[in-house]
Amino acid sequence: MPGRPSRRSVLAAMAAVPLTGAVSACSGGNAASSARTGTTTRITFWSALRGSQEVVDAFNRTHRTVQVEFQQIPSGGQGGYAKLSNAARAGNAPDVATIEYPQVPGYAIDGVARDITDLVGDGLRRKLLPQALGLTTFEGRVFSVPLDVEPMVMHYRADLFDRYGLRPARTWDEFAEQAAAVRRKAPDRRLVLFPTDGMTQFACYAWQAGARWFDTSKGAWNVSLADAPSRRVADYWQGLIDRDDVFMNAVESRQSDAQIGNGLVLTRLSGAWDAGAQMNARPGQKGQWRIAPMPQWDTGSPSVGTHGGSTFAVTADSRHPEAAMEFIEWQVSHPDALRARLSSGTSSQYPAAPGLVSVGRDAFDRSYYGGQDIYTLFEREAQKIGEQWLWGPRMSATQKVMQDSFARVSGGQGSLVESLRTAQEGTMPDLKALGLSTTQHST
Amino acid sequence: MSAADSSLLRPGLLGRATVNVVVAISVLYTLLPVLWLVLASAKTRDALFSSDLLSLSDFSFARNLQDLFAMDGGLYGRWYVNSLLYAVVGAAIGALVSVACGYAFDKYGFRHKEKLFGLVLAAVMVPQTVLALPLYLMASEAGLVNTFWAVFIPVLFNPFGVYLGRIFARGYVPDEVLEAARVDGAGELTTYFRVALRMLGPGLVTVFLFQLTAIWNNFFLPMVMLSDQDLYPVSLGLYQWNSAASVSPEYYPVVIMGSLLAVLPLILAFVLLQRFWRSGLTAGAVK
Amino acid sequence: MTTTIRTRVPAGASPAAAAPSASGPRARRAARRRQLTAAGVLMTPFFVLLVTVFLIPVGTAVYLSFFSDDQPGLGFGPERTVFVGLRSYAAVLTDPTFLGGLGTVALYCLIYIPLMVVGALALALLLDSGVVRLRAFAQLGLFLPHAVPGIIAALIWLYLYTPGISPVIELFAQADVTIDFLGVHTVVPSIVNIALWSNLGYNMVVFYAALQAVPREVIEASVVDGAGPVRTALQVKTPLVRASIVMVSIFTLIWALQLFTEPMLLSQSSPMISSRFSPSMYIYDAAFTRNNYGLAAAASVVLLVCTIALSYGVTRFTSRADVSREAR
Repeated sequence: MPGRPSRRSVLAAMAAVPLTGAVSACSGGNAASSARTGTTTRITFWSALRGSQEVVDAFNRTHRTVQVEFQQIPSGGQGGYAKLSNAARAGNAPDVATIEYPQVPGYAIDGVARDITDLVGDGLRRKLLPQALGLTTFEGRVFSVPLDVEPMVMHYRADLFDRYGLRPARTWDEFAEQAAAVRRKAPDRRLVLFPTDGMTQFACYAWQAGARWFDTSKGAWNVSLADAPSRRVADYWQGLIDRDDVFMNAVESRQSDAQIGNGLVLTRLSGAWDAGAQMNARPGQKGQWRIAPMPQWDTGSPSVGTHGGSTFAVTADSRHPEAAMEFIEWQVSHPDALRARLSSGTSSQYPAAPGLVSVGRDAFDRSYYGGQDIYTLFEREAQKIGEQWLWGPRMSATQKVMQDSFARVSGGQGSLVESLRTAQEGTMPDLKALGLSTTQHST
Repeated sequence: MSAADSSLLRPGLLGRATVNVVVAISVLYTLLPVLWLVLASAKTRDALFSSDLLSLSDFSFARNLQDLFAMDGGLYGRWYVNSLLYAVVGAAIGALVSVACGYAFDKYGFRHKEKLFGLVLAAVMVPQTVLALPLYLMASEAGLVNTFWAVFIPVLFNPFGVYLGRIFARGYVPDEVLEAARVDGAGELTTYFRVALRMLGPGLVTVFLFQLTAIWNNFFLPMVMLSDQDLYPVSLGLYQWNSAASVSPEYYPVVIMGSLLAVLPLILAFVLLQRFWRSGLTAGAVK
Repeated sequence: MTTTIRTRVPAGASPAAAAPSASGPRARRAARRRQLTAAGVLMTPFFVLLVTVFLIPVGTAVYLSFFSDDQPGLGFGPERTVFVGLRSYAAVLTDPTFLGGLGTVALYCLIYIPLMVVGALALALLLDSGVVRLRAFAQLGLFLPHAVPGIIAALIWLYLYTPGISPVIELFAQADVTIDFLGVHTVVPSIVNIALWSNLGYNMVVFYAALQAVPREVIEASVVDGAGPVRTALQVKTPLVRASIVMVSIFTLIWALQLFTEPMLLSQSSPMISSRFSPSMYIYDAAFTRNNYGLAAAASVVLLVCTIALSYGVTRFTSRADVSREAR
């Protein structure tokens, strides 16, 4: 159950407070505070990412002036974000927090994530993929540092593709034809799932098609969730759904697990990280999966969006932003950090610092994917990430409204295009009530 | 109703049968789901989904009970104790506070009394959800969020208890008794605690019972205030386990067993204290 | 806070207090002072609670709905607290998800309240007719669900709505009827059913208690007039328990407007219940998942105003009906 490890660690941390005695007065004695003991700066770090403890241990072993205290928290949607917001409100947020890309602008606006423009040196900037840093930069100011960036790829069942005489589709048209073919040949199987809880997947499809749900020109949040590229994508998937050529249910569900486990679904469209997740979840399917680039709208100028990925922010509460930044920089750019993270188990995360790709490649066991060099594929795909994309100020809310609406589509009510409009209508009151300048387009 | 006068009113045989059938169906409607809960609590997970409720072959009541208290390191036991603390202590203090206030409203006169009483009645109408965010922010400011007190203090507030207390004071404590006590030279508070409170006993129990139910049922406030599972009451804990059950079905039997156990204290309280709450309902209804 | 209450009470001393028996104005004044002190002591704990967990929060909600920590433009600048007037209200009232929630609750009330009041009253009248066998058992049986906490009532029914677990769905299936209790059109009636199940018996007991207090002579008189049992119930007994009907209606309304627990639980299993399904869920979502206090506070005040207006309306409507009846 989510939350349990966090509770333990909260208790452990609380129990540890009186012993360390290094609690500053104005933070009210909370374990999440940081303090300077002697020449060592102590900072706190919250994350739900696997392998974080190993990374922190490795950092603490090799650093003297900065020591990190780590606390495992539930992942964002499972209560991690609520925990971070509550802590920030109570003034005891950790020095370093983990935030996924869609939530970065929201936390920046809420004043939880600190403006770290001046702390991000040129050296670090040069190490990071520009598209990744672009997602955490607003009005020229940097609010968090990307750890990984996850181009969307097509995971496919090579064995079933062979059986039905398919090859990975290069275009979306071809993909649609294959979807129909799969349903014809195997009525209980489908080419792919349209996830009703998949705002991030849909955003990624729209991103690939050139959509800009949010842009910040002219000093305002210009919102256009139903712009032309998004409508094109919505209509495309609506067609597949109407023809019953795809599954439509939640991806975070037992139903979806069963679809993958029983070989009912032939492809999964998801970020690079999912290769490792698949290996961990279903060791029995070894050798059956391969990975291919996403189908394209325009093969002449291929593009992809990203699906997943995390960033690290220094919080506004932190009293040691330089130390926090030193830890973050090491974590996202030092080979030992990635090695430490991978030591906790298989992962196929694609580092936002391209210099680390070889570390990931070397550590990855290729046999699950039949010897395929997936990192080289990821590297190629990462170059295609569209640079136009920005996430909005209240993505969790936008996501909920959109997914609620997707779920109704699966119940036979409304359409995907209407879902986009509903999501926009359900987002605007939020932005307005926050006092932000806003405009709306192409609704 | 005596046999003599009710015979005058008795409908014909057909009417009588209809009345009994309607009431019987209604009773089945209210009882069957509880019966289902009892039967389902004795089922293994697989039997639960094969939905052959009445077969006794896979009877695992004791097993489920054991699992319930073993699940997640015995969290359920904690939740149960928490619920008892919140509800029993909270309702006891709350009932004393409300009834004392209601008594004062009835027995003493002061300016703006009825306006103040109107304010109390207005408080009955205000939805709890309206107060949630400000209460949360206040608790946050005071450093009480995610502590026992964040839930315990707000549940003490029971304006309807004041209303009932006033009615009970009027009904159960004759003014002559107070006069007599005053003639004897007893202080006002001494009279209240030594004499009036005893006479208010049944009313106090009624207010206690209503508040006990309300706090035991409380779900919104703990959900807003608490993130530490060790502080959860049963209601919030079962809610969380149920959300986990959609991913890990081993939670289904324990949620059902946990629900059954959570129902027991209130049923017990209602059955044991029947004559008190009936009088309370009458007081509230007839005015 | 404590002091304001205490000082207010003696300051407002009125001569209406029970007359002390001691002779002399000074003794009387002393007695009154003692009484007011006692009133102060007995009332202070409650009013401390009233101020801290009721008045201040309501005031805070109103304040939050008019003020906001704003950052102009994109929102990345420094915050400042500004008076925003009706901006939060405008945002809430133009939010289709909030209006949808209001609509849902309106529909819920329209189905639930009449069913509840009529059903509970009918059962009470039946039990009062004197022909029901095992009356004590029937009463206890009907009342039992009230002892089941709301979240557990919702859990029980959720399972009874879940295909694969539910014997109800199985029964329907045997009759070749497939029924989805949590579908687009069934979800509100399904929630009504849970609330009805929980509260029917309780309100029945309220009505029954009131009926017991109806003087027997009145009923006998109507029988002498030749009224049958049905007419006696509808035309004699029912008007005599009007006060209870009004009270039950108002309390049912207040509770119905707060609709939260049942849909919150069912939303774990039904995609048809969104996170902003009812106004209360909207408030929760705005405050605690969207961190948008202005929006949550404005929605809270709107819900509060709706509740007060509707309760007041019901009271006025029924008292006016009283007057017009007496005029007839």
